[in-house]
Amino acid sequence: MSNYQASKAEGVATQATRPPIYPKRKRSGDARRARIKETIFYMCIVVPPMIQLSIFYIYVNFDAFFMSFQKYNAATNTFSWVGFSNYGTAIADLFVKGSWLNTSLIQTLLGYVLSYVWWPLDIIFAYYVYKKMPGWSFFKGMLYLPTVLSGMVLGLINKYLFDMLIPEIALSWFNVIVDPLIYSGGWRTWWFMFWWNGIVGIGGGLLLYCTMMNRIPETLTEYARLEGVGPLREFVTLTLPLIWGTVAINLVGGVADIFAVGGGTWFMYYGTGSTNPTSVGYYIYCLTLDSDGFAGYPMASACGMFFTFIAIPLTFFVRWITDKMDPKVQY
Amino acid sequence: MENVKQTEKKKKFKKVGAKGQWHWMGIAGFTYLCLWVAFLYFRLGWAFVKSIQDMSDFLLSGSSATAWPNKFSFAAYAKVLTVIKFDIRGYDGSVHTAYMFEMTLNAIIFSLINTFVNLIVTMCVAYVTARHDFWFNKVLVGFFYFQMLVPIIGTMSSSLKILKNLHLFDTWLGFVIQRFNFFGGLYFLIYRDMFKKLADSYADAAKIDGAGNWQVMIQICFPLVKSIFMMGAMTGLISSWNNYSAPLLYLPSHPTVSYGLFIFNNAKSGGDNAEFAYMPYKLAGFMLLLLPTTLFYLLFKEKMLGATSTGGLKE
Repeated sequence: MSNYQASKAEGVATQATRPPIYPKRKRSGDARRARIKETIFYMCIVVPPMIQLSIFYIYVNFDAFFMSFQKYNAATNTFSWVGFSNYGTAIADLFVKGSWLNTSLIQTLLGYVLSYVWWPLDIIFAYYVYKKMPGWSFFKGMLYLPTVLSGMVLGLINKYLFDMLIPEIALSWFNVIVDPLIYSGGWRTWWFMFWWNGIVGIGGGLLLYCTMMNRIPETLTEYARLEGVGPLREFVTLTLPLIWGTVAINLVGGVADIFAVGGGTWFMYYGTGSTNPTSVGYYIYCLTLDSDGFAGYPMASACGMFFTFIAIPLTFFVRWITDKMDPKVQY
Repeated sequence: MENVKQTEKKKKFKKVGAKGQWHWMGIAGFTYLCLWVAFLYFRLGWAFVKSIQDMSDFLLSGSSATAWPNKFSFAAYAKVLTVIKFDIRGYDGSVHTAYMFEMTLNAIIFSLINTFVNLIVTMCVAYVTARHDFWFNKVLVGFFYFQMLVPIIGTMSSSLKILKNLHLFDTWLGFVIQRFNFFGGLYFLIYRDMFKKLADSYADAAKIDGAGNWQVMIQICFPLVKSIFMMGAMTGLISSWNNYSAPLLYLPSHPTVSYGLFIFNNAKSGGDNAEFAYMPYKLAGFMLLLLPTTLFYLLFKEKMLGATSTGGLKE
């Protein structure tokens, strides 16, 4: 009995010195303190970017909207209200055949619609790499290379090729006079660049599509192969539907960018001096860049807002279409 | 043993001859890609050959783009590196001359800010929205989707206006503030998805050991998505190095190499940079701009093309 009591007392003593296996149940005060600490931590992370967004996204968007109804007076350094005057000017310019804005809109919309001729190429070549077709590893590295190389440098090297090398080859080897393809400008240059960018500009979505394709369970593709499905059928009936979510995001994002892109390419070739070839993005870019102080900003904002009103419903329309086509596959 | 070898040979044979390997799609794709690669290298090769053509030889050939050089020289590279300069007028009206050294330094600062400020903010916000339950998460994620789906065009002028009014235009601080957000690209969604998939056991174990929220985030969770961070950092650094339009718009008196070469490309035969108006000089400048990113890519190619896995256990 005494032994039992001694061992019990020893056990109690050991328990007191050893740390408990399970942590003590926290009191409600501890939980509240932990939540307060977590909230402070959360605020520290979230508040600075939110302040930034409030100024550089929310305020900027509202300011651009209000500025589109204003006019800048350089003498007094103030903005004054002019109603829909800027919109009126933009719309009037839009309907003047051959005007800068008119050409910009036509070339932008035509470029967007025709770009669907080329967009499958990215997916097809990602499929080529995914299916490990001949030379896939080498081509994967090569297709990604233009993303690494400066677009400006490649563009300007192209300019030398099209403006100097090709006309020189045509004249000396074939005795044919070819005008410099970029320097001459106009619709001819626009069409040339459209074909050129389509044929050569592949590889941009390679990594993204490859990653999505690699997530497709191998059992599915194995099963398809056992059923005698060839690569083309596998691509159309299995791979494409399974990566459709990503494709749809890119399609919707593409609509959102219609009136914003294109500025860089033409700026690189012509600075701010081209009225044809051009694009809406380039037109607004030039208005901002060529602005004397704040003078050009209201018109740039008005054009931006006008095309935003067109782009928003278009974006939601394309999203609605892609949602309709979405097979909603989970894997 | 021989049987095993024979089976392995058969397996290899099967792999090469399997459906999809030399299907017509493969042949068509192979042909197209071969032509594509050949043309890419032809362009770069032509530019390199012309950049090392001796200047007098180039002039004697009648400034021909097709003439094969009789005399090679790297003088154009040395000149571009040492002599290239142009005058810049700052927003405050001051004028100073920028040399290649300054442009390189600016390019490094620009690339670091442009890449890491945005990437770290994106990672932090993605982390808290994925792993901490607050109602405000919905607002943050909603904001992200809104800016992604709703295109608001023509706000560049308003951004410039506010930067000028706040005296942040053409300053590094202004650029840091501009990049202090989690918008742009899909990285926010990728990180958020990855942090959501991380097992809770890591954070729980660290908390039992007494780690705080910051320690769990920085020491436990961030290292688990290191591969994606590295991929984002590498692609970000490369695209920032190549970016000429952002410095042109927001940092006009802090020219980067890319921006400098863009201005340099416009050198005409009558200006300050008259001697650089010839093709070999311009192409030498372009080749120098391509060199760091190409080397970077060759060194980290595997990481850039293959870093899509996370550490830790998936729940």
